[in-house]
Amino acid sequence: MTVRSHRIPPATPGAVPLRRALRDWQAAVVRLDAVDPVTTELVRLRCASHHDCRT
Amino acid sequence: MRVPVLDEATGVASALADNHAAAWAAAEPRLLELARLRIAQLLGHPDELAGRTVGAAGPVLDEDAVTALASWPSSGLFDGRDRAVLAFVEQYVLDVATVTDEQVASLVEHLGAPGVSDFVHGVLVVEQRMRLTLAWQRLGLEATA
Repeated sequence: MTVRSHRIPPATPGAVPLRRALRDWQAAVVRLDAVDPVTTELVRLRCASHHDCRT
Repeated sequence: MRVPVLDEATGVASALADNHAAAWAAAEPRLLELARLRIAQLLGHPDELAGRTVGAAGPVLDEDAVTALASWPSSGLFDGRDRAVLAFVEQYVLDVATVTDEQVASLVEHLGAPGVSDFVHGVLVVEQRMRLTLAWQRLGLEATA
């Protein structure tokens, strides 16, 4: 995987309500329990790798 | 949008609705509408293609632009900002991992860094929602936009 440099500064301000809504959405999805934790983590890590997401 | 598959997971359904509303509030509606319709064309999402986003003054994107959208590279209806947006969106949909530095730099030039942040978050929400509804529909779970 190629790790890229930041294309906009990490501290770039953004719309707080949108970021909060995204955070809440992601948290709600993670709380779902119909898929086993190992599969969930495999998918999460694969997506993070593809998106070059370091969080 | 009602999502029967999420009837037992109301937190997820409401969060999905909330982030969709927040995306449209944060991003410039005309640009996000360009993105939404181009994504719908690329993914083949008939419900999204049939819909129009309407603001206080009417549809946020005129119908001539909608008609020309698939041929935006050769159309005279789209300015430099539109082109930066559409080039980015197409690459994002086809393979997000291969969005180029130049495509992002062009967006920053036209929208500024905070504008890029909000726009890209908005594209993420719109594209993710479209892929989810397509998947649910094809699985027979009957999500309706």
